[in-house]
Amino acid sequence: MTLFENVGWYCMLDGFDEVSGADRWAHIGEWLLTDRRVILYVDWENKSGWEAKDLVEALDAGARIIIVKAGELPPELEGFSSYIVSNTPGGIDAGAK
Amino acid sequence: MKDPLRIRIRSDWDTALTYDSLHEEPENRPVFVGRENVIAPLVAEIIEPNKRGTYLISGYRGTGKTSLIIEALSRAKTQLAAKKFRLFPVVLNVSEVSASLGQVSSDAPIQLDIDPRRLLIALIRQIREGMKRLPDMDEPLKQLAEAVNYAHEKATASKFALSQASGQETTNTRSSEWALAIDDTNVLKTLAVVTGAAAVAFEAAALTGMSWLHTAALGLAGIFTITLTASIKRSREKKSTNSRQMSFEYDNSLQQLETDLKDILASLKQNKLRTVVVMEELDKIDDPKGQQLAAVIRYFKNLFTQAPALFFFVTDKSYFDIISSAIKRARRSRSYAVEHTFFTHRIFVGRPTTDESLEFIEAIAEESNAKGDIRAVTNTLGKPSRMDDIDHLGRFIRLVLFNAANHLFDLKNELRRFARSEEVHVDGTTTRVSSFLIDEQTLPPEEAASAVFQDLIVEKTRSFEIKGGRTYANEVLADSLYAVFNELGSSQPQKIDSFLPITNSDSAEALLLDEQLDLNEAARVREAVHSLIDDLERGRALQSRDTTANTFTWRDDAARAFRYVRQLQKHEESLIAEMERYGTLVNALTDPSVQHPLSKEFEVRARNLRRATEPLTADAAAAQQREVLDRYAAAVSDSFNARLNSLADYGFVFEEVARGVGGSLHLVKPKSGDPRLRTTGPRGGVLLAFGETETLAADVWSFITPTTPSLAPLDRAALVQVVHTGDNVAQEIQNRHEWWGQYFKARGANTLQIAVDVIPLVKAKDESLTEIERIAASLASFGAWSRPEKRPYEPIPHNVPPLKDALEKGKTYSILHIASPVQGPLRPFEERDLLERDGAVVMSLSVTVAL
Repeated sequence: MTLFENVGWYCMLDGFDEVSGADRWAHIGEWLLTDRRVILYVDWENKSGWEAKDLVEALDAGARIIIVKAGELPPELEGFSSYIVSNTPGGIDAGAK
Repeated sequence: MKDPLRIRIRSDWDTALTYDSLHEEPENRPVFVGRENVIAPLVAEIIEPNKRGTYLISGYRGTGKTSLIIEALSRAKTQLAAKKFRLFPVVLNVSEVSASLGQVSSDAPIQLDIDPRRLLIALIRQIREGMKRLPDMDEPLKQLAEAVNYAHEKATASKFALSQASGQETTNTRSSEWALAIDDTNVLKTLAVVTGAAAVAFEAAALTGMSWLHTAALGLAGIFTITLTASIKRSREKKSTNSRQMSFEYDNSLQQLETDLKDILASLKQNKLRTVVVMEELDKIDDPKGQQLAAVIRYFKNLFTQAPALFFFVTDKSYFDIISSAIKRARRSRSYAVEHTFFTHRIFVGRPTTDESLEFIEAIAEESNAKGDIRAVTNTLGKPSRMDDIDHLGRFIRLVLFNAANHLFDLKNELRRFARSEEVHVDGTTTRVSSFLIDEQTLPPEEAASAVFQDLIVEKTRSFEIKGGRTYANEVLADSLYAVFNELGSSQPQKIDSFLPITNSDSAEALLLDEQLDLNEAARVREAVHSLIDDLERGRALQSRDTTANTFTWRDDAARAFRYVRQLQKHEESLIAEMERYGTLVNALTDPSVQHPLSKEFEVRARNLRRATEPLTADAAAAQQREVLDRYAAAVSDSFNARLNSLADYGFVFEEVARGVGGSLHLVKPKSGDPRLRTTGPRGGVLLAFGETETLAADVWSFITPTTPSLAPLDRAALVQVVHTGDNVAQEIQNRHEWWGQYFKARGANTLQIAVDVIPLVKAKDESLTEIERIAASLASFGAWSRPEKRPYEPIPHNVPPLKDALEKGKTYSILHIASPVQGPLRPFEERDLLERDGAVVMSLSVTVAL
């Protein structure tokens, strides 16, 4: 299942406990991310099977992602605009990058 | 006009129907036509002997109210015969009622008054007179006649004494007075002797074999002491021979007389006489506020509604207005007017229609070819564009109708100008014939030119006719239209407002022309008048028109200068606009390259309407507008249903919450059921609305905040509204969004979280999703958003500072990077609620770590 399919699919399961037509949701999932109806949350140390390239695909589509990861972002994601929050020296709010 | 036109007519053509006509054979009666819609129900009531009731029959003077009643009685008479009943009309006119107690002096100014006693006496007297005229009186009828006579004697007596002999002879002593003043000074004494008097009375009845009524009257007799202040007295005494005489003074109180009359009416029915009481000329009473009549009717309400007879009260329009106004005003103040129950039926008799007036002219014509020609005029009336084709007869008829303004009384006057009575010699015999002569003398060209205005009025009357049996409203319509021509030829500015129904008066005393019109009817009349004046202006009948002062001035030669130019009426323009609008909208339901069949049909209909030579009536236009809307709504509804079916393929389950014209509301139901039934919170739900119903907002709100105890309100509610928009999709969507925002804000939905999405029914040009995918996307994400309990807060390092500001500042960035090292315990990412305020969902792609 692609990330886009997963987004649509799990919205349905969370909202209505059932879903059908797996092949129908990719397009919808992508739109939900693009329109920022769905914001992804990724705990980098615990991301279950998703890889950086999946997130890149979502970010390319216009998605917004909250990533919890100590230190720097993975190099694949560095090209995207980001806003850093950190309590390490350098400030609580490190600002945009 | 080269050759004079002669139309042979009945010599009695202008004779009015009178109650005497009831005794004549139908073929010998004067001409009566039309009014079928009023007469037929009246006849149906009269021929049913068990029917009873009070009828207010009102209308302008001269509109033929009396003729209408006579015609109804006449038809009923024949049908009653089949039921072995005889018609027994009792006709009272107010002068008879008023005079039933006499005048003090013949020199005094005549003032017509009516009160309960006068009415009772007059009624009993007329019944007595009616019975005298009855042929073939059998024994029971003779006894009844005797009882009526007795009741009348008693009623007119200021003091009535009867000495009863043991034998067959009776002595009556009767005092009558011409100016009445009754002073009952001894009621207690009266009551004390009633019982004893009754006992003796029954004994006497047994001896004399008197009729039941007489007996009853005796039995209920009491003694009144009556002080007389009469100025003139009359006494008469009959033979008196008795040896064992008892003397009574009878109760001729109002209550007793009423009882007598009730008994008489019941007895008339038992004797197969159908009593119809007609009280004529009530408008002649000096009673501008209707108080006298009201007092009488109030007093006798029980008698009038319970007695086995029909009571017709014939008044002019003003009394109808008084009653209706009282009822209307009472309704305004949420009360129930006494006048409401005065009459079981209120009938307003309008002036004859143009067709009825024509029917009358046809009926008085004697020769069949002339009748045919007159009938043929009907086909061209109301078509002012065809005036050039109108012949002498057509112009003559139009002119008399125009000058008479359809009033029957005035129509006869107008026709009299053309009526001639001449001697004709045929085969050596001389006969006198009547005819209408139409030549240049009787119908000069300049006058004949006015005929076109009648067509104009007929066209407006038909176009703007107020359907639904609203004679009153149509009378106001005709009044207003004819009023425009009241000063035809005048050089003075004509105030347009003066032709219109008066509205918005707050005066409780005001009796307005249109007091009985509802707002739609008043608007219809105004529209008709303005349409007429527009036509006159366009056709060059007006010298000038001042739209600021709302006046116009006639041209000197208005009638001759006028040329009709057909223009679409406002209601036609409105219908065309609706067809064009819905044609465009319905087209958007399908592939834009293929015209929807309904759109094609609307296009053709609009084109035909523009090309029509005659206007569509306002009612027909309104009916067509409804039909256009219904068909559009059906097409949209089909489209909605098709989309619901498509959405089901994604796994959505819908439960209908509400439905109306043009839309429906559904709960998108989770497998766990209606979220409002959950015993614990939070409770979230998603609604899908298709289209726009009158009650959509209320339905949505009542779903979210149910008042039923078994249902709990929602904490998070999402609404997806699918609307069918016009060309300006983005603007309409935005407007709708804002509307919902204001609506929920006004409801004080502070603690409740609400998310709304408005989606066009048809895929927007710049939309990447199909309309079904777009709806599915909204529903799915709202579904997840509405149930936060299914998505536990994500764990973040406890040392991450509050993220409120960061979320706000970083909202335009693709990534919000929380770069704090994970040290120590975790805390819930509660700040995500800020991100989800408007219906967005934070979805975790991580393995859940228990906090």
